[in-house]
Amino acid sequence: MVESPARVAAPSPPTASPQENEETVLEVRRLNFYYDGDALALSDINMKILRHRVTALIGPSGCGKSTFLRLFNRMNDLIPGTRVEGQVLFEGVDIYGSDLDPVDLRRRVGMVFQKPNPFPKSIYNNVAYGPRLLGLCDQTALDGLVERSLKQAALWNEVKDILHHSALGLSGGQQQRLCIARALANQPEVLLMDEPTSALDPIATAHIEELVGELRRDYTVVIVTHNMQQAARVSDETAFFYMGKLVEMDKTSLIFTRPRHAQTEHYITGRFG
Amino acid sequence: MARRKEAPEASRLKCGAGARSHAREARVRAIFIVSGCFSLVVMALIVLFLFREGIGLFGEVRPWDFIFGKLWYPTYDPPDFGILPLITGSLLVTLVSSLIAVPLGVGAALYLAEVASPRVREWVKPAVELLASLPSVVLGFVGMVVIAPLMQEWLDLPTGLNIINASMMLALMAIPTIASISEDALYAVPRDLPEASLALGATPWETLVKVTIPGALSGISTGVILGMSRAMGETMVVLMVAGGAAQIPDLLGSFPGFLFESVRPLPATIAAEMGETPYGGTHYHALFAIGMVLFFITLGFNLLATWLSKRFQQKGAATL
Ligand SMILES: Nc1ncnc2c1ncn2[C@@H]1O[C@H](COP(=O)(O)OP(=O)(O)OP(=O)(O)O)[C@@H](O)[C@H]1O
Ligand SMILES: [Mg+2]
Repeated sequence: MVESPARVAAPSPPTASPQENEETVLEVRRLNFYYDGDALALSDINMKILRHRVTALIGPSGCGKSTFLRLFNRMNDLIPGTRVEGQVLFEGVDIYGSDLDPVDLRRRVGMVFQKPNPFPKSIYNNVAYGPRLLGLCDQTALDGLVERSLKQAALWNEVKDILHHSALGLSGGQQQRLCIARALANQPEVLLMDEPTSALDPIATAHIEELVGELRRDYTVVIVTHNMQQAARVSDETAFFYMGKLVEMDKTSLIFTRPRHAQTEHYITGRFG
Repeated sequence: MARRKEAPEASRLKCGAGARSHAREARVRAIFIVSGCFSLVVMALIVLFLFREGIGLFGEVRPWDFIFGKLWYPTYDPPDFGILPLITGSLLVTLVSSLIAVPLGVGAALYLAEVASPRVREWVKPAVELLASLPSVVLGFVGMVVIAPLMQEWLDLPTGLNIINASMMLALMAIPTIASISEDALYAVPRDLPEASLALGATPWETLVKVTIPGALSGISTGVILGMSRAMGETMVVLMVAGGAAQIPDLLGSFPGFLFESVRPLPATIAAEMGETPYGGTHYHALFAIGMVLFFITLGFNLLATWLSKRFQQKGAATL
C-alpha cells in the first residue's frame, strides 16, 4: 500500500461525489475522442475539475492520459484527422462547440510538457515570450512579470544574474522550471502538466512537486504522472484511466486508501500497468 | 592485440573470425582513406596548376591594375587586362538572381514545410529538386531563344541578352538548392518548439516567425549562400544569355535600366576566350588569373556559409 498523502488539505467526508459543493472550472461530458478518423482513444468520459485543486491523472502507458490532457487546450487540434464528440466546458463554455478561438483558450489554459522545451533564446526572452505576444512591451512591467513568474517557479535565485544567458545552458530541472515560469507568465487560469518530472532526477523532481503544491493557491492544476507517490504527494483529486476509459475519480486520499475498483487498487499497488 | 601476444594459439582458435574481420576492417578503412585523400590531392593539384598558370600574369600586369582596371581588351595592341567589368558583371547577375531566387526558394520551402499537406509535399518536393537536374545549357537555350526575343520585342531593347534575363535563368538554377536545403532545415526544427509556442497562445504565424524560422535560420542561410555561389560559378547560362559585353553598367544613372544592359561575367570570359588564345601568352595567363579570382570568390562564399550556419546555430547564442 502506498503511504497516505501528507498534503491532502482539509479532511472531508468520504462521500461518493465530494465535488458537489465545490466550484467547477473544467467539466467534461460524455466525451469520445478519435485519432485518425475512427481509432477510439477515449470513450465516454465524464469529469469535473475543481478550482484551486491539483488533479492527478494516472493510469498505465497508452491509456489516454496525454490525449485527455491535451483536450483542455485543444492541442489535439494540431494532429490531423482527430475528432472530438461530447463537450468540454471551461467556465461553462464549450471549448469545442462554440466559436472560441483556440489561441485565446491557450492563453488561459497553459501547458508544461513532458520534456523540458525551452526556446533557444535567453532565459528572459523565454519567460517574456507569452506576454510579448499579448502586446506587453513596457520594459518595467515586463521585467516585473518575468521576475514574478521566475519566483513563482522557484527559479529566480538561481538565474537572476544570468537572465540574458541562453536557456539551453540550464540543467534539465532548471529548464523545466523555466518552462513552468514561461507558462505562468501568461497568467493562465489552469495549468496542464504532462509528466513534468519524468525527465528529471529526484532532487529536481522534489523541487517541482513542492512548486505544484504552491501553485495550487493561485491556479488550477491538472497533472499527468506515472509516479504513484507523486500523485499521492501533490494532488487533491486523482483520476484513474484504463484503456481510454475513466475508471474512477475521487479525493486522492480515498483513491490511495480505499479505491472502489479492483483495477485501481491493482494499479496503485503495482500489480499491473 | 595484446592478448594474442600472450597466447597466440588459444587466441587464434578463439578469435579466428574476429581477426579476419579486423583485417577486413583495416582494408575498408584503407579504401576510405585513399578515396578521401584522392579528392584532396586532386583538388590540391588543380589549385596548384591554376596558380602556377595564373601567377605568371603578374610579371606583366600589376595585380591592382588587373583587379581594378576598367578595360578588358585582351586582344588589342597594347592589350588591357582590367577585370573590374567582369567582376561587376558577375556580382550583378549573382545579386539580381538572388533577389529573385531567395524569396521564391525560401517561400517554396516554407510552403512545403508548413502549409502543404503531406500528399502535396510528396509531389512538389521532387518536382522542385528535378529543376536542379536541368542541364544549364537547356536553361541557357531557353533564355536565348525564348526569353531574349520576347524581351527585345516587348520592351523595344537593342538586345534581350542582358543582366535580367541571365539573372532569371540563374535564379531558376538557384531556387532548387535554396528551397531544398531550407526545407530540410525547417523540417529539422524539433516539433516541441513550435508546440510550446502554440501552447503559449501564439498564432501559427507568430510561431513560424518567432520560433520555426529562427530555428532553421542556420540551414536557410547555408542554402541561400550555396545557391548564390552556384549562380556565381555558373558558366553556360551567363555565356549564352548575359550578352558578353565587358562593360560596367551605369548603376545609379539609369536605375533600374541597368538591368537591361549586357555584361560579361568572369566564368563566361574564361569559357569564351580560352579556346582562342595562344598557349603561354599574357592573355592565357590572364584567364587563369581570372580563374584564381573566381576561386577566391567562391571560397569566400563557402566560408561565409560555414560562418553563418555557425552564427545562427542556436546553441548558446540566445540573441534571437
Ligand atoms: N498522434 C497519434 N495518432 C494516433 N494515435 C495516437 C496518437 N497519439 C496517441 N495515440 C494513441 O492513443 C492512445 C493514448 O495515447 P496517450 O499518449 O494519450 O497515452 P498516455 O496515457 O499519455 O501514455 P503514456 O503514459 O505512455 O504517455 C494510445 O493507444 C496511442 O497509441
Ligand atoms: Mg503521455
